[in-house]
Amino acid sequence: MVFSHLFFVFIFLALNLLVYCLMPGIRLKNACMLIFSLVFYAFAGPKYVILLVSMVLVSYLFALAEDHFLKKGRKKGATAMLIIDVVSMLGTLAYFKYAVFILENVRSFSGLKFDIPEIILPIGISFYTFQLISYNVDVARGEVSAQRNYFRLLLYAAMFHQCIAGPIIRYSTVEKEINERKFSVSDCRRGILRFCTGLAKKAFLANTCASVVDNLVPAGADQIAVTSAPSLWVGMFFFMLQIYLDFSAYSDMAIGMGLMIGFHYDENFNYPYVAVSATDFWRRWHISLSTFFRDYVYIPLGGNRCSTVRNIFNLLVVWALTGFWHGASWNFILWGLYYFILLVIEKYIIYRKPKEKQNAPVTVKDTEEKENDDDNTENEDHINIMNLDIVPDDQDLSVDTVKLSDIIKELNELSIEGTEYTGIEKAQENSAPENKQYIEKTETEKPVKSRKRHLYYMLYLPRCIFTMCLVLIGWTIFYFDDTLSLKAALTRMFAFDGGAGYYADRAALLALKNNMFFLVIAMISCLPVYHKLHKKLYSLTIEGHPFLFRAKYLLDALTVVVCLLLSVMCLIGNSYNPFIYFRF
Amino acid sequence: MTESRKTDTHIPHIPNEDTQIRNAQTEDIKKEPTKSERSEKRWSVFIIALFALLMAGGSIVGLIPDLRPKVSELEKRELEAFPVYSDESLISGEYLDNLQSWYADSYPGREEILTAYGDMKDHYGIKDEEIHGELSYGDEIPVVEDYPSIEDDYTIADESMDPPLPPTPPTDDNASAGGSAAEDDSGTEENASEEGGTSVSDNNYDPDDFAPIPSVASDAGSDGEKFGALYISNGAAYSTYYFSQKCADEYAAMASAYAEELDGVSNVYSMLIPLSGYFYLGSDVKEQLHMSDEKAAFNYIYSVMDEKVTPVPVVDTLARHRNEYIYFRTDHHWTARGAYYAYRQYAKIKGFTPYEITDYTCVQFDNFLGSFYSSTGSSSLSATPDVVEAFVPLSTNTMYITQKNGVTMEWDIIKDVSGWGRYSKFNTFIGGDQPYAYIKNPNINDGTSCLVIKESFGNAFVPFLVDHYDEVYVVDYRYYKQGAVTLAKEHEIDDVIFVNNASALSTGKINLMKARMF
Repeated sequence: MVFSHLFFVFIFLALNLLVYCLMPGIRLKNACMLIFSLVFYAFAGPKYVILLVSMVLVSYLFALAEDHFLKKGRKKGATAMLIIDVVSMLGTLAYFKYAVFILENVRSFSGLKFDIPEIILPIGISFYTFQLISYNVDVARGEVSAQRNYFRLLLYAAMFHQCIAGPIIRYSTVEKEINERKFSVSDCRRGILRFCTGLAKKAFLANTCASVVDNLVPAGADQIAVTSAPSLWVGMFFFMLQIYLDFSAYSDMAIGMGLMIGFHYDENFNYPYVAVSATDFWRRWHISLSTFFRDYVYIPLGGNRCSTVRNIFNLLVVWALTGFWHGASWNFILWGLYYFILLVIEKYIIYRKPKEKQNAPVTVKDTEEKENDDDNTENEDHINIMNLDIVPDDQDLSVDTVKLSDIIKELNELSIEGTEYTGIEKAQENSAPENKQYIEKTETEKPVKSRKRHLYYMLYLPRCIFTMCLVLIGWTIFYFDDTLSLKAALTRMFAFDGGAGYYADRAALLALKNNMFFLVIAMISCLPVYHKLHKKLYSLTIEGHPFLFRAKYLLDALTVVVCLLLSVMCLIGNSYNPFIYFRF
Repeated sequence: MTESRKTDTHIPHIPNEDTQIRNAQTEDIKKEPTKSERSEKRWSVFIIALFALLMAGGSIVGLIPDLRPKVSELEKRELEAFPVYSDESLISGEYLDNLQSWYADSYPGREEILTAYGDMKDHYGIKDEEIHGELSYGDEIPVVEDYPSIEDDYTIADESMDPPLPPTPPTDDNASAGGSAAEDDSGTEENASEEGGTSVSDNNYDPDDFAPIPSVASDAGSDGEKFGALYISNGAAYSTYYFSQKCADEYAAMASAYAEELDGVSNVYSMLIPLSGYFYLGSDVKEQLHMSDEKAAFNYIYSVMDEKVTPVPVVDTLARHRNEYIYFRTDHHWTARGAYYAYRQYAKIKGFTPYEITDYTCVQFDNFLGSFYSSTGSSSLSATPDVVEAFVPLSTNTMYITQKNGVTMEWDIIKDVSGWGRYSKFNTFIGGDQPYAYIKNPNINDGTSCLVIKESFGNAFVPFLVDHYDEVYVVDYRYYKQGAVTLAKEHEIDDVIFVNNASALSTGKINLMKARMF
């Protein structure tokens, strides 16, 4: 079952919420969630429930063993247990997800003849396997204690909110809330809002984009080889919108449903299409996956605290794996390597840090961050540039002497933080009214020079547009999951065939013309516009406009009604409702 | 470790909203909630209640079985039925899949919601022209000799001339589309609906008794025509045709095989009908949609057919009358008027004298929205609905149809469908797509007979044959399973006519025709 199905909304979720409300006590509420989650998963094929349940059982037992060894001070024993667990998890994943791919490649490269078994990829296996691995690693590292109750662990892994399309939730995030969680009307309201907007994002926006893509981009290399380049470009542009709207919609719905019942999942997307570099893009795109690879692969490999060559190798491993995680196909690996190249270029060429800076003594805050998170040093002086509410102090006016190239280098460090999440949650009601334009945030930040800031804004749009062009090319690699089609598409799009694909194409033109108003809405939905509006209303509320106070909630209420009705209409009206994560 | 939590630590002195609320709930003894907090809570409760209400409403409506539609008239198909339970289907996951499909597919108010969705889609952008579906590419068509229509006064239309806009349907008895010199009296039929009403009302059937049977028997959407891409412009839709060498050869071979098999029994004729875009789209548009030239394609097919198959080339004759209302705007079919000119062409080849169009009683059913509308929901199409004109045969209006369930019944060749839904009006002709139909002409008893092997395009054509044969047999190859050659041999049928439109030149349909010879 997927969220964007009428049956899910009106039968499954409605029943789930009703039963959940009626259950007294946390134990029964958890039981309710567990049963519903297993039923939810059973819709994808009841036999895979057995797989899920047994994988959780393996993780559960190994985690207990790890915990046991740790308590006795035998770290090696815990590590051994962890290795066995991770190998068995990855082995299962490899069998279901990669066996066919690997065998096919072995067959085609070796020339041997053998039959390849048909293996169906159980839905969501990549997500829950990763959750279980992160749980075991965290237990072995002593960061969390092992869950004694099997069913609670099962609930963590199988929770229907995130089981089939993410986000990948760390056990530590929900550890406490599985045992005890508070219902708050305010959370519930925000959850409802989040769910409804997510549903509309998927049913109305993403599915419409998907059907445009489908009309413009044919299947099969020979058909693509005769499709016009404008069609392919416009098609890929719509795909770029589709994949963000679709994927982030699932995360929105998961987070929203979590909030409704008192779970606080981490954000998974932070408006990736306002990124100003590939590095920035990956800080904002599928955060739960990139932090997974950062914490469980990149940093254990040595992260960036090693030689340049080793660091590049580490990045290579991480990005090849990130790509491969998205599906067992060469194009996904290529897609990962594409980002590897971009990130290496950004890290070592464009935004290379001056030597003396790297050797400079780290500040207190830096050390703190380093302990938690080695690779985040470049985040040290983030400032929320997108957030126009925050204007830094203009203390240092001596920047006139700074060279432009230096400024650009340092611009890299002006990254953007999490406050931008659909962050209705970050109320700033308490700050003094006269301070609202200057919300105090500067104590942890270095003052940003006004000149630099000015330049940042000037360069913001070109940088963002350039980055999005790179991202668009990335999505092209991502979209064509057979190599021949990909080659044909890139040949057409980049005129490797001498520009034969470039002619006025009515299909591409009409796709834009017929959907121009829709396109504006879809593009706005990718930007933090609604979020800003909401935030503005909040800050004005602080000043005590009673009308605006009501407007804020009226906007919420209206959003809920409009999004829900719109979604129902689209779910019935539009028969095109693809689920694009079946390869994950 | 994650970004959001980092933010929390950055702003430790600004409690976020929910902690405030928790404070308000749990520590109200210590601290009275402020006015704005109380108000915030009230609003939250209001929004939660609103959501609960909407969810409950949607669930309850969805659970009332009586509200669920069974048939979509708009899409001309039966909606998903409640799945039948079996242990295997449950284990394979199929049962639960079907359950979900059933739930969404027959949700109460479906047709209205679909219409509303279509209306909304019209505002997605500027829609003076639209393309629905995926464009494709045709093969190169081999150049062969021309097969012109046999018509003395025929002059080839100037290729460079801009094609006319598709004629608007006749809105009243005098406003016949056209104004063609040849048929200048075509608009002066008697008051259509009245005449038609009386001429078909002397049958014993209450349309309600049988309406549901043919009304879902049409082909769009089910196993019938699937349009490649649709191009919509000026309130009319056009289906694209892409030549396929393989299909063309297969079709020719199929028709030849019939002729071979029926050698000495029947004459075999092949009438290939182009789609409306051929006549009404400019060459620039055709090029940009990569559409293949249907005339060239048909010429090629005729040229590779066995000599025993007699071509009935109708492209030129239709082109000549393209200023008339020969194709629907919202439906993929030709009109009866278009079929009439094809009939004249057939008559020329057969050597009998065709009736003039004014000889017939014309009935009209207005407010028709066809398959193009159903599949696109485009409001530019619904703004100009079509009118179905039908010409009642002079000899008889009675036929016998055998339905898909095997039941044979008497029916009208031209049925009064004025009371039927606006999407079903093309079913006025020979009861829609029935597997088998038989018409006996009471005025002719010379034993002459013909068999029409057709898909839905043939429906509008068959009524004109009625007055020239003793017996007319009609077979829809998609549903008739007994074998057309067997039928022709059994009844010693004189003429076997293939009436196929360009979109029938697909492997699937050709295979059906091939498979259903015996």
